[in-house]
Amino acid sequence: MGRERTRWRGFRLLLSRARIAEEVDEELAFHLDRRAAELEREGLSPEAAREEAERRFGDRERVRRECIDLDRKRVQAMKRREWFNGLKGDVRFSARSLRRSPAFSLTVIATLALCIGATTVIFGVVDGVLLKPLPFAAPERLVRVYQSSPENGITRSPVSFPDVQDWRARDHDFQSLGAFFYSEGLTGVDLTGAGPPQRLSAAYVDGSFFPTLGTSPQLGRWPAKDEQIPGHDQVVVLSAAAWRRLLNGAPDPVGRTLTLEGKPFTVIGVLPDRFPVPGERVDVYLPLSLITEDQVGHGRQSRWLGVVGRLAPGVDLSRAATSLDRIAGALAKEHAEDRAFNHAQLLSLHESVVGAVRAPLLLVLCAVSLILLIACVNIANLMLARAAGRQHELTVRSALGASRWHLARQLLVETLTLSLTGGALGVALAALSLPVARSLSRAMVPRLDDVRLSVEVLGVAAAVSIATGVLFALAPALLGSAATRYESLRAARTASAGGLKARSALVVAEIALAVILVAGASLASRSMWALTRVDLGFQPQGATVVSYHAHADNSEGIAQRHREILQAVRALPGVTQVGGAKELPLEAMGEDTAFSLPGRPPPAPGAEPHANVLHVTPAFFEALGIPLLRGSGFPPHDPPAFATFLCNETFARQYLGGLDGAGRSIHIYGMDMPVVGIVGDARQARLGEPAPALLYINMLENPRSLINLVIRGNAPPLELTREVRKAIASIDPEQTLDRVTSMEQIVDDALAPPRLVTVVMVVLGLLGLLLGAIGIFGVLAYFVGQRRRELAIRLALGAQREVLLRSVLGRGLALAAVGIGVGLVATLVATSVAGSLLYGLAAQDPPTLAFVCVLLLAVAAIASYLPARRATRVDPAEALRAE
Amino acid sequence: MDLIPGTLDILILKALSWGPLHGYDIVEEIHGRTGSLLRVEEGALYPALHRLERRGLLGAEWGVSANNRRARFYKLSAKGRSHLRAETTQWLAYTRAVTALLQSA
Repeated sequence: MGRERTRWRGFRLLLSRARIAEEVDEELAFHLDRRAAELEREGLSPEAAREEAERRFGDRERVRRECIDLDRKRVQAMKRREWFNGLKGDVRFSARSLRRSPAFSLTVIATLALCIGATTVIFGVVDGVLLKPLPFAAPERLVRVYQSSPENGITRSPVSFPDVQDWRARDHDFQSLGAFFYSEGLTGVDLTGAGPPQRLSAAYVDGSFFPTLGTSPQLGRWPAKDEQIPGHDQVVVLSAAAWRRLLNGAPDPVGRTLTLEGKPFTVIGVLPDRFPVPGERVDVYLPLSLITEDQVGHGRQSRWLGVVGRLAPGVDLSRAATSLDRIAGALAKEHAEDRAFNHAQLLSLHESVVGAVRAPLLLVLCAVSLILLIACVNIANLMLARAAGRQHELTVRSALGASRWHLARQLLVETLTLSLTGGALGVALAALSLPVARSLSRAMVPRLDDVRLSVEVLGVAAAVSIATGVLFALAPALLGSAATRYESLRAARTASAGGLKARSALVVAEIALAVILVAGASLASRSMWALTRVDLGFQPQGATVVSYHAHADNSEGIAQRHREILQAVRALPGVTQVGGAKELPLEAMGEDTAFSLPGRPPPAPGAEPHANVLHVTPAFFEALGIPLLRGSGFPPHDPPAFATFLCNETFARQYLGGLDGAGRSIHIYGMDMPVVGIVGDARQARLGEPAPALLYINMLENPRSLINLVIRGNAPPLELTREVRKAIASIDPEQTLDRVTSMEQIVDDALAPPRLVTVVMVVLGLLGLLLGAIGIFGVLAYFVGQRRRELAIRLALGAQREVLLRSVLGRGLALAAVGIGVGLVATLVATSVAGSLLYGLAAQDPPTLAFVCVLLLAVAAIASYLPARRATRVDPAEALRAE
Repeated sequence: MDLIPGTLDILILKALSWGPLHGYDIVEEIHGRTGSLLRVEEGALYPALHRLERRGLLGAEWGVSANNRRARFYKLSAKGRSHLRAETTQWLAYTRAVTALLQSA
């Protein structure tokens, strides 16, 4: 009963609004006629009967309307249910049909997963780093302000204290200006009394800093105006990370005391998470008033402050920039110290934080999007080849009564199933790769903590998946062989010539792109490989690094502290060598100092030779494994008022006339000083750059507070560092350590940027290769499909299957060859532009390019093989019969 | 007598429990089976029928009436039948309780 009813009702679903009204009218009319007839039988006249019938019925119009409304709703509900059932049927059908061609389905899903995954990761990074506004009130009105000195070529200089005050007084385009002092790795304070002493990274901010930025602390409050006065300024605001690390995220940090630099500081607040200004690794924020005049000069020539500003309402960046620039110019005329720094530069705060990475990130995003687009066209191609093979099925279904809409809907469900599955997998891949991407880019990309699969990013991934699904369903219509009708089967064959040409051109473009990407990946990999094998000039293996700042009342005290600690560490049984340096290789460049060569006419001011002076202990070279080539090392003590120098080989060749120059003097620091020895070159600035001319000075005679000990020993590293810590603590239990690491780690950190580039290029290269392979496969499959009849005839006429195979293969390889040619040209052009980024090989490196060509030909051959084989499998009788 | 509000539905369902009827005959059936006591207000009937149909308790088909005219016949569905059973039980229990109360001195 039920099923019969359902089928019966099926036809009634086509009720339109008008039909529903008609039927209700008929039903009510029937009733009224029967009632009138009954009343007539009882003796009323026809008119009276009709009148009475209508009267008894009541408000006919209202009843009519109510019934129509109810029916309409019922029909709508039924239509919805049937639509859903239809959809369910389509989904089941699609699943079955996709399962029957697993190679096709898996290829499409895998390609989409990879491409959507890659796009999602990159977009996630772009979203978190570039798109998300800074976590402040009206962040677009925040700017970073610098002084600049065009004549010295300085565009972004810190600002002096009096200048900031004058700017505040004179400039009305700013609602407020805030000043801070922070230098990563340099501004820090010692924390003692809370476990082992440790060094905290500190930023010093003035009273306007936080109010200018316009944000509230997570807990507590900002320093008040009267806490910016010496004597009342022992308050500290913790960063969220420091709060968690030092106080274990205790719920009541406000009011606690921390001992910083030996003095008690009250915690008054905790910053919100991920505070990006002035840097991401600041542990504590302290009042600027703590920096005294003798630590950093407060005069107008002393430029040490960073400035953030909030634009006044209604003022835009360019106007504020012009007015401030004018004021800077005026101040330069009024004060001699500012003469050279007569301009001011404004940059939006967001730009100052992320500006450096904007271009590379967007470039990578474009590349990945391009790859995704090409993948989509590829897959559309594959879809077409598949559709061509399903003509028979489609025409049968069409003949059985499936409307075009139904067939189209089923195809759409199929493509959406593929694309949503691919998209979901891609998002999963992205979620897995995001931590890897973050760790690879650490220290190179700012705001990485903001990078995650946020709602916007997931939304973009979903939108892309849906869009690709729709695109694939539309592809048959767009690419011109929407042959679902029986008659166009015949037409499809002859109309294919144009289609093949277009597809072939597309594949050539894909192969060219693949060549560029693979070449880029290969060159980057080889360059990276070369970098890892570069001769550093020193031995990083087995060298532990322990860094600290020595505190003393005067430089003699600092030197004494260093000597004591060096002695204590050297005395440890497991230690064979220990030396120290303020500037380690690959980390810092030393102090840029002018000098001249005695006996020569003094050069014009501004044209003196410059060299970087590095501060090291006598045993440094031995500890790091830098050979002494000529002369001797540092004497135990410098003569009074003198400094002895060593130099490296490059310096000797440039200025001392070669290795024999050991013993010569240079005129530096106003006096003639001897260069007693020449040591080997060690990479100092970057792995990829040869050592510049370097001078070494004995830091025990010319003390600097910061020292990095380089320790070599027999004990395993963990044990060694433990012993070293104990030795240092035995000299001063309050001595904090800045860090404990190894030279190998430092070298590895130097490799991080090229490593990131290489990884990105390899991923893109592999994607490009995959696309190229799929492209060739798709075109050839299409070709074979179109030419079935011709191939069948040739086979029937006695052609050898191997010959056919070779001809199809040949076609594929020919396409690839053209693509490779185009790609090579493009690569040569691109690398001539970007050659400077590579290390150790010419951009047009023949072996690499040869490798790329061979690789692509091999991939093309493999991709061509399957369709070629299918061509040989054509059964002549069957193919000809199908016509 | 006029119907107590809310009882029309159950009367319709019961009327159809003996076989499909069109709207006019439903009125006559109820009138007849209640000893001419209950007359359904005709204006209320058709909205009730369409409402019951929408809820799935009735099915409707166009058929031919006794006097050869096209009429819309309503039939009790399986869902309607079980709904009728449940409502009947509830109604009887309710009226038994009310009757018992009203009849006590």
